[in-house]
Amino acid sequence: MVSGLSDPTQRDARPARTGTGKGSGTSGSGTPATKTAAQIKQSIRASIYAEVRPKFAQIAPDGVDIDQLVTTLEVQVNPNGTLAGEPRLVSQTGKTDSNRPQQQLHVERAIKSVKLAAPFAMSEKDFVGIQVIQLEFKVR
Amino acid sequence: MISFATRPIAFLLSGLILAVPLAAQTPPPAQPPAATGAPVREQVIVDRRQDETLVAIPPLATPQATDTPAGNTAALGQQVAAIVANDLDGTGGFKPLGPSGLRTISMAEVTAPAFGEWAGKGAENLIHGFVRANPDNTLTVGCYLYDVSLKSELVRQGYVVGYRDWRRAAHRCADAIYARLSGESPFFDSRIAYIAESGPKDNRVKRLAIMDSDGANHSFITNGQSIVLTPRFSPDYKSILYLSYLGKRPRIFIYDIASKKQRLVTESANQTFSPRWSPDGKSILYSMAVGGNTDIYRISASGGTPQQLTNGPGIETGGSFSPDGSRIVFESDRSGSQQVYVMNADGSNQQRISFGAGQHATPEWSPRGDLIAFTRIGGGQFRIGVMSPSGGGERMLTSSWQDEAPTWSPNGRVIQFFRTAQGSGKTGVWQVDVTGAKERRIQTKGDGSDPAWGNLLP
Repeated sequence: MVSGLSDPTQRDARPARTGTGKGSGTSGSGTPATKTAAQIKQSIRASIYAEVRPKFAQIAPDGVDIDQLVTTLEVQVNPNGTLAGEPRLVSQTGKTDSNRPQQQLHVERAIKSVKLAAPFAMSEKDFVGIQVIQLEFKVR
Repeated sequence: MISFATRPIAFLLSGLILAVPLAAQTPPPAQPPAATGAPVREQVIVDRRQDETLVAIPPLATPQATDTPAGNTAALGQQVAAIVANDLDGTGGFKPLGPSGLRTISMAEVTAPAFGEWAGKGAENLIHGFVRANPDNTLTVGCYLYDVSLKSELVRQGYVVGYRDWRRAAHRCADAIYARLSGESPFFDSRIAYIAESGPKDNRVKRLAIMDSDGANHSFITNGQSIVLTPRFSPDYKSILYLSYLGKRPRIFIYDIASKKQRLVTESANQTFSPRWSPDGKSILYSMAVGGNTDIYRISASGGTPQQLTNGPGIETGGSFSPDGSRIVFESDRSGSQQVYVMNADGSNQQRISFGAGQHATPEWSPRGDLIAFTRIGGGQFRIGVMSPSGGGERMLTSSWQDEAPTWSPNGRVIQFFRTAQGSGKTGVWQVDVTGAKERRIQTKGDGSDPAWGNLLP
């Protein structure tokens, strides 16, 4: 595990014992309880960690100064975990002359990793409407 | 290794209330939050890939198997696929699957691939294409690249070539695919000049030779009666600059490829070496030792009086122009050991840029301008490395007993050099990608040294 960076599989993705929905415990009667906003956040992060990261790891571009690039996408997720439209580029930082050839590719592969990862494993009971997520993609 | 760092977020709950049926004895669950408000923000950080992208490339289709002077189009479909696979394999980023062991696709599949079949083989990308004989004695080579998981087309190109140039069509196809998948500029459709060596260690025969970037279409330019060194293609590919010791007297020649005639640029009783073109092909840099002092000179490609650019007490040599021709990188031992310096094209503003361990020699400016390749001497090794034009970011790319004389691929992302084996003294031409991840040896006729890459073919 990398120091200084948290691992949602160890901490953030821990099932919420009082909540409901995917990854949550249920009460003895089986009656659904309601997740808190923090628990929902954890659930979303866990889904991203489990599904987007491996996809990006398989297709991330390589090149000189690739570790400088950070691509931020806005992803909108429906309550059933499907994408609500195409992921949108928010910003890209760390551009250098050497990584210019990979800048567009970095965006393309980030978008592809989200598309391949969707639909995310979320419970429709977790929230209503569209959840907006900003993802910062980086290769180190 | 991965990380998933978190950031402070503001997660807002809406006031939306959903109608929830009430159950006796059971407290009503609170409503799920709506998704309005500040977005969740997370980092998806991954390590650099250590594996290679699996690219399937079955033999290309042909609408009708036709005999041509280049071969039957069905056989050409296999051969073109093999050339593309070999080109991609040498870059370090791709692992070709096929064409051997794969079925030949039908013409219908060229534009409608069986994605499920290729996904089942683990292919991330898929190359399809066709070879067609045309009534006007040409060939059309179709070249398609697909994303297997997204089932989308990434490249669609067609090349109409004469029979003689069918290999170039394959290289162009590989270039298009490489450029699309890596983001880099193409470089396969190019040629290499080098010195072919043969004979015993103390009596080597050195001949100037040229070949395609993959070693095909090889031919010798000189017959070995004189020693030739350090060839360089002109920027327009029409000629080759090289140094020749005829009768132990150094001469700089330009060989015209079309007419097969050579022209003397300059000769001297003094030791002369390392001729290099300017980016516009109008002038030539070289080094010359006069009275025990070696300096860098510039001369018009048509000859004339050279202009002395350095005037230091040490040995200055190995000049190489920046891509815009405004600066020159060279090596000098004025500090007491060989180090890399840069100066303006007129010789002014000379500054040392290498300060790492060991000596730094034979600098070559990348055609992209962002890096300088060099040979580092130290610890009993000659190694190939790169640094920025300001001298920062020094990285070593090879680690062998004796690697030297780096030159750049046309896209500035692969470095070619020659490696001398310890003991036998045998030399070979090698390539390493600019990340240092992948090395490969280029096949030459006998031993090979002093490789130089030409630009992308026009």
